[in-house]
Amino acid sequence: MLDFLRNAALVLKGDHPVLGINARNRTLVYRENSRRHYPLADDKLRTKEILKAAGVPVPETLGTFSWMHELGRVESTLGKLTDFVIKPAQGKAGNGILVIVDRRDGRWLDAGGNTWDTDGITRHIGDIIFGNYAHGLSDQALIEERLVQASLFGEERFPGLPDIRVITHRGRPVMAMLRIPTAASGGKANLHQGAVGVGLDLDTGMTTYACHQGRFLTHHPDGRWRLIGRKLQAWDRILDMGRLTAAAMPLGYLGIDLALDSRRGPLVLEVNVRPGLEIQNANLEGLEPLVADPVHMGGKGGAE
Amino acid sequence: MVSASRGTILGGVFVLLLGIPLSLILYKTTRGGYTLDSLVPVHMYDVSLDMTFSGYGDSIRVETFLPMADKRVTIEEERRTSDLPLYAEHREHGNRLGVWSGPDQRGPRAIHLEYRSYAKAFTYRIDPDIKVPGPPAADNLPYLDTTTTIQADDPEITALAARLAPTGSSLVEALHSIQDYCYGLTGVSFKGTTDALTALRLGEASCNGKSRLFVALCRSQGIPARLVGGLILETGRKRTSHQWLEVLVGPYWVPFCPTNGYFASIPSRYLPLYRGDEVLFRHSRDINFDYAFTIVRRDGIRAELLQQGLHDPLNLMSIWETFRSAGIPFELLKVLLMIPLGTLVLVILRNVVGLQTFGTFLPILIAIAFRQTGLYWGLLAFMTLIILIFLVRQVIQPLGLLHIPQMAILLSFSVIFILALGAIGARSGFLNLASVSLFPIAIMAITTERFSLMIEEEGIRRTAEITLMTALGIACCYWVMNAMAFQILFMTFPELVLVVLALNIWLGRWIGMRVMEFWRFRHLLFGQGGGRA
Repeated sequence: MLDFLRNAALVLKGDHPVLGINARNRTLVYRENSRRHYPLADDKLRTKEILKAAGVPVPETLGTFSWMHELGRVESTLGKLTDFVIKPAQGKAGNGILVIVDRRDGRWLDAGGNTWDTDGITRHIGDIIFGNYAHGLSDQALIEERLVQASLFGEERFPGLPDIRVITHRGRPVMAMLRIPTAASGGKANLHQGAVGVGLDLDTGMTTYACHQGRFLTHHPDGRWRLIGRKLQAWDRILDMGRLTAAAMPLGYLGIDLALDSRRGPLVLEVNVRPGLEIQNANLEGLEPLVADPVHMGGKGGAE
Repeated sequence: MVSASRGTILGGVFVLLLGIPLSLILYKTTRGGYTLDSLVPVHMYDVSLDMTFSGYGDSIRVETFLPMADKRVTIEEERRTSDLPLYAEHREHGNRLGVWSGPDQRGPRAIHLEYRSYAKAFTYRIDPDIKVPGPPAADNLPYLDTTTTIQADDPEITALAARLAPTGSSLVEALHSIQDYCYGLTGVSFKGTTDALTALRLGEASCNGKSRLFVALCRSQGIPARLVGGLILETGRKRTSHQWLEVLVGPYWVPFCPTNGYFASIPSRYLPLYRGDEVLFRHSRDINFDYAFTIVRRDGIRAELLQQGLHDPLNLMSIWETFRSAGIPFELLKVLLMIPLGTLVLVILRNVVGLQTFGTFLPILIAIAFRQTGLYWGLLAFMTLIILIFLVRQVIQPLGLLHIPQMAILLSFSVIFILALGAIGARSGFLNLASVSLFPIAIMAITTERFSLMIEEEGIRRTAEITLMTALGIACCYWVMNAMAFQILFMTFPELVLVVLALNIWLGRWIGMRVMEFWRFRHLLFGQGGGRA
């Protein structure tokens, strides 16, 4: 009780470590990320070009569709593939991503068990090009190799593809978390849609706290998998890739999303210029002290 | 250094934006002759009168009394349309009589009359030294005569008058006695003309019987009095008019209403149409005459306020007069002027509270659209529309249609739905619901699209949350933008828009936590410190 009152008094004074959206936007996003560089992060094709050139592993691009007239070659491009992923180049929050896992009798099978014929796939690609997943602006559809979930800690396999979010500030990783899909999130690693956020200790890669829809838990809601106190595989490589990615992009405040593939190890999926703040709950730690600008803290604006 | 000087410049702008309007307002209220009284809103009423009748080949004549402006009542924007070719206005016993006529009329005919009226409430103080004069010597004095319906010389009435208002007693006391007596009669709803004597004998009467008895009792003791006929202004559609009366005290006609208990006073919603024992409508026989008054209340500032100080360069209000002379409706200007305030409300809701809404400023547009329907009907229609879009979307989703044709289908369903809702409203007499069909199509289109995209991107649960937050945002915008106080303030001092700009600059630099973030990060903020498990 006393603790609570002391904290409440500090909070009211504004003396707390939590970073709010207003502060994130004004002191980090606007200051560190120039708007003209946003397309480098918003368009996955451009991001991948930059990262490949910098030597950061990314999922292999198997093809792209940019125009409606290209829809005629869906069969010729994809017919020989048995598994792949279709993504909108400018999609957000994992929307519009279709994961194909197998091909049987001329039809494809997606990760959710639905079958797709060429017409269905063509229509989905058409929707992407039309901008259904990019706020109505025209977009490109991206065909990528399908990643196969590597073991995160041990033997267990989680539903969907978990990913790792690393926040970098001026090139330095400052906070990280693991996002594990649930049945409720429909296999998506999106916290708002019901994925579990698991905090990661930056030094060791050990999981610290797990947060699901505002509640803290110790085990995955769909199984008895323990989520906290586990060591994440390939942690040092993940951190290195975070640093490399941050160095390759002209953006000072980034959320970098990685996945662990069973064959290729960690790969960068995408980068975000306005990474969400829920990571603070997953780590039960505020971002503010970690991104504090010593000049800014002195009271006056940045020293650009 | 760059941003430090930018901060200084912004600070200066901020001070100017706050200082200029505040000093202008201070100047105007202390030196410019603006009285704070002028800030008090008035209830204005748009009155329209529809008269319908049919001709069978003969000439037709229709007469009714028209409202007159005086010290208490203001009449504006009077307009007439008529199927009859001739119109004339007469003065008749001091009343204003409109006369419509035409020869050889065949088939249904209509006359439409409308005006905007606003009036003040008046209360008179009657000098207690004035005495009751006693029975008049001759009955040919004006306002003292006896008639078939105001039987001032009937023995029953003179006896009662002498008891209630003894000769030589204080007039104000006597009037109180008469008022109490007439007010005390059992009230009944209007059943046609009731004369004074009948009202007295039955011990019950509607407004006209009570008022006639009051007038008869006054006249019988030598107090000049006359009937007044008119309307009680209240939103709605009605055929009933109202009668009250006036007593001549010195040079003043002092109003009394024994039906609703107004003594030497008259409320602002009483609109007199004629004085004397008249009937409101006179018309040719056998024409199937019918009529109805439709009254809508509007709140606003007085027109005279808009006219004052037109040549004062500091009086920004003179721009309203400029627009008015160009025929641009005042209501439209009011909507425009309230938009900056609406944006401020949304900035606060989003950046300080942390509410999320469809589209940044869409709630403002919807709130403006709701002015037609009222908030509750509007919100009901909006929420039903959203649910309908959701259901239709669920049905057509499996068809796998492309985005734009799918939007077109949803929008068409929205239009059909809105029209159906409007038709149901019109049929069942819910005019507020009927006006839902005025919901601007552009707003409907944007809402439909945002909502569908949001389901796609955020999922159903999150979209439902955002829909509720949007409804809350709309309600807040509606309350603030329709609040009389803000409207009057902004109409009177348009320079307050600069204050809104100043507040937006301040909020644009404010990086505090949003209210909803305190809940979101409650474990971090208020939990047991940062120790790890």
